[in-house]
Amino acid sequence: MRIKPLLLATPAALVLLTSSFSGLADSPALPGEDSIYFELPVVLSATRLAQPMLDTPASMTIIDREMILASGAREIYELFRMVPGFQVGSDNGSVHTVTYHGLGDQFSRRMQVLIDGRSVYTPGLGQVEWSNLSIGVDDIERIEVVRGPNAASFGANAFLGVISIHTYHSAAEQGGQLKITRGSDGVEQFRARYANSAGPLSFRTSISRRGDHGFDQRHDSKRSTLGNLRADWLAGSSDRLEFQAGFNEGTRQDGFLNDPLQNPRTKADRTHFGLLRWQHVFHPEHELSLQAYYNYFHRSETMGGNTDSGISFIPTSSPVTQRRYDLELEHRFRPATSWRVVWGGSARLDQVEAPLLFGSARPRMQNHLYRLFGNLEWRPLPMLGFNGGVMMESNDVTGTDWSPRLAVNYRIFPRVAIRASLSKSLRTPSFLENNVDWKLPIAGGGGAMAPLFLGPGTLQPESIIARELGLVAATASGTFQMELKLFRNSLRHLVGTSGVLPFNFINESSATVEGVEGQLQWRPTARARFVLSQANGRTTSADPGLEKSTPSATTHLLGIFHLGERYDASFSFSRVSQMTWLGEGNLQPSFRRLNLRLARRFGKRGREAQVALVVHNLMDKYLDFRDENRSGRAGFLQLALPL
Amino acid sequence: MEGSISRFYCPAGLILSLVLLAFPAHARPPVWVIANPEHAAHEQFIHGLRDSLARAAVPIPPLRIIRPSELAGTRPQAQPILCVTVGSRAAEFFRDAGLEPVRELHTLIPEATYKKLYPQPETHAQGGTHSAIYLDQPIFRLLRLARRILPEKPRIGVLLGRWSGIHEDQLRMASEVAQLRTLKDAKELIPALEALLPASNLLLALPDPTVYNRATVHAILLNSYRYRTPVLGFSQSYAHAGALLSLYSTPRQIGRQTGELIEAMVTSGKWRLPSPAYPRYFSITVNRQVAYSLGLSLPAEDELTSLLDGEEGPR
Repeated sequence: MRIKPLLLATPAALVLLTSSFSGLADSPALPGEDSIYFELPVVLSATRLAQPMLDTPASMTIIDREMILASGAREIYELFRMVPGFQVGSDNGSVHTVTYHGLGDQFSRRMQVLIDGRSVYTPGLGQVEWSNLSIGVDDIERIEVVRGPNAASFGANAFLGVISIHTYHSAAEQGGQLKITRGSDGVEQFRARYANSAGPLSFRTSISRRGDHGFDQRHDSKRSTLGNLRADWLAGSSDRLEFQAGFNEGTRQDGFLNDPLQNPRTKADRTHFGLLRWQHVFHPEHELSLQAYYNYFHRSETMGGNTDSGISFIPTSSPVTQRRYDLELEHRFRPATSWRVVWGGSARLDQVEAPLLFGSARPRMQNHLYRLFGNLEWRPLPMLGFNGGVMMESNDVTGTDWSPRLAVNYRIFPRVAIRASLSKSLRTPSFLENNVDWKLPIAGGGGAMAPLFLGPGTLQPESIIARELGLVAATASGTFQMELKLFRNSLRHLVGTSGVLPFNFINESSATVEGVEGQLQWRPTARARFVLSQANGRTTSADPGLEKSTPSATTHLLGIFHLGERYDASFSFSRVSQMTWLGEGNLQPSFRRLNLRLARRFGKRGREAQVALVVHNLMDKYLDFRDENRSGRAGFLQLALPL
Repeated sequence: MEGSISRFYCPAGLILSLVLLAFPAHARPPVWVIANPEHAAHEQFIHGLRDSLARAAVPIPPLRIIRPSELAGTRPQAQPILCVTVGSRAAEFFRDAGLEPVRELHTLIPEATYKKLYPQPETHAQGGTHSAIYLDQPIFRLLRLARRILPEKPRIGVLLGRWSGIHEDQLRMASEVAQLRTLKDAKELIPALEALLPASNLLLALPDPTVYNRATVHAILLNSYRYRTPVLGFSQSYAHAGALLSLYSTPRQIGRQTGELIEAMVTSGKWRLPSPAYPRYFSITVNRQVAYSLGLSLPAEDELTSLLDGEEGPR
């Protein structure tokens, strides 16, 4: 953790550097012609601008700041309940999972997750560690969710969907804030944020400590300290440099007394990352960006040990270290009025060290990945747009793969569009699936090892072909927005396990997921907003486990009300029909969940304090992901103070 | 007025000799243009002025370009019939040079600066001693543009600062303006945006370096885009940076207007200064990419300009 003192020292230095400046020019001189005729950098360049909903080539859901706040979500994974067709679950208090129309286990292994363009899907174990991110809910400005595969833009593992999280730009906030959350289930969160700017340099930083007791009757408390820093520097009018760094470290309890493979234990996790991005804007529609980042993850835990299951393994230390280094170049331009082009390439190195999982003969597993991608948008008529993209990837595990995508959008009326799209994506098997050779020494077995999991080393990538037909409509004023889609996804070579001790990873099944889903947004007045998500789907497969993993219906309704100048109220209602999670999960009966949030602001604008009361799950207790987990009512009080 | 010009006194060195060389005693009194030709905006202004005068139907007095720094200690041989200052610095230098009163026309000058330099308004019925062509756009023109581009009734938000505060009364009377906030401190910018943007469907940016400058452009444009509230900016570079569109007058357009004003004074033969005026000619730049992203379809720039022109009636 040598990096942490540095991470903590940098914001302090920036505070000192910028504290003597102010964001507004404070010149007593009379304004001159330069108050109009001055040069500015391009702020909203092509990468920052979203395509209008009517013309997007894929079905997308945007979770904006207002929705994030109103949802009452305390953790990031909870936000995805609002996305049509998405299900979330918790294997324990620190292992959360997000999936789309089922097919999910505790690892979110079929979902790509990016934070400001940096993938946080871990290569070694093939999962998204939602509790090990360096950011919290309050750092997020908006989330874009692609509902469906999109490897042509995001590469392999953009399989069931892509979650792209955007944090606040360093210049979008100013000053400091302290936020304290306390509530049931031992929830304690403390967060401090500070942002400032000095001329061309701006930065923001936040640091949090958080912890909770997890589910009742479970050994799953967690404690984390996390922090992040973002600095943006404008070098002249056309170049900008962005630096990000962050860390998260803490302990997470896990395990059961009656499960010899999941002995009660405490995992000590440590992650950090660094990112540097240079962007050159030739003009608003022509830009070049180069980014480099690394992710580091380390976990130490002891597997085995006494349980009351009758079988015992000798406690064995099981450290895991994962590193990722990634370099990416992207070029966007507009060769003609009706054309837009994005192309680029990247190189990546993933390394995993986990001697217990891969055998002492393989102290370090690694994978090189090279990508070349291109996306063309052609709009021959204002009403008609074609979008084609392709990604070519070459990696050490499965060789060279292609992921194409084609979409057509046609506006049948100025504000009503239909969309048809066809795309193919892949998921490269994780090191764990392909290469695991996990054995534990049996207690009293005279050195005998019990084989637990075995990867064949020859797994093929999973593949998905997605077909979508969509209808999108929006009123000019934005009062109503509606999206409806019919989809049919064919998945092949899905990786599962067969056998018992060892469990063998194999490309076992195929499946077809099909259904209809939609979202509706209504703003009856400037002070009220409703967002409805509804999805109905089913999976057909020779594997009944996959069929049952998809709930037939998922509903979410968010209601937001601004009452007077001082009060905000909101509710978030979800209903998920019966489903059976894969992996460690169980049959989860149909449930309903209602969250409420009421907030009041105090003090004058700019120096406002806020008190919020959030109640999670006002309705009955329900089974969450596995038999042992019961989600009950929980209340939190949040206090935010300006610094 | 004529008398005051005859009393004009200029203790000049370099300029004096130049003027002596260039103007024989019988020449017509020149028009002075106090400007910095190296400044890009001033250069364009001078181009616009010269082009406009070249088209004039009447003989125009000679133009003399004088740098603000050369003003102090100038004693002209040929007294100017009119002094045109270009930019605020030139206006300030002119005032501070301690010269005898002369007929002055201040151009490329923000309204706030002009009113600070000349706090006593004149009645221009008989022609005053000083007047201006402001750099700012008239509020009515901006409001008309807002009505043209928004699909629904405008709910305009305005952030005012130290200098743009002079427009406050006029803005308060406009039914299109829904939110007005005055910034007194840098720390108030983002909270003010947070309060103003959700309740507005357009952020009207008025030039004021205490609010709109290079240091604040990120906070303003990123937050406005986050709330999907488009920005109506005041310069071409604000539109490039990410405003939905900008309405502004180029220095060349203000130069043209200045030339036409000189021509009108020559034609009338009375050299009467009109009241201070807003720019007559203007340009509109639309950021098509931002418009597309916000789902707004805007008419072509020329079309918008002529629509507004039409509403303002004949020139």
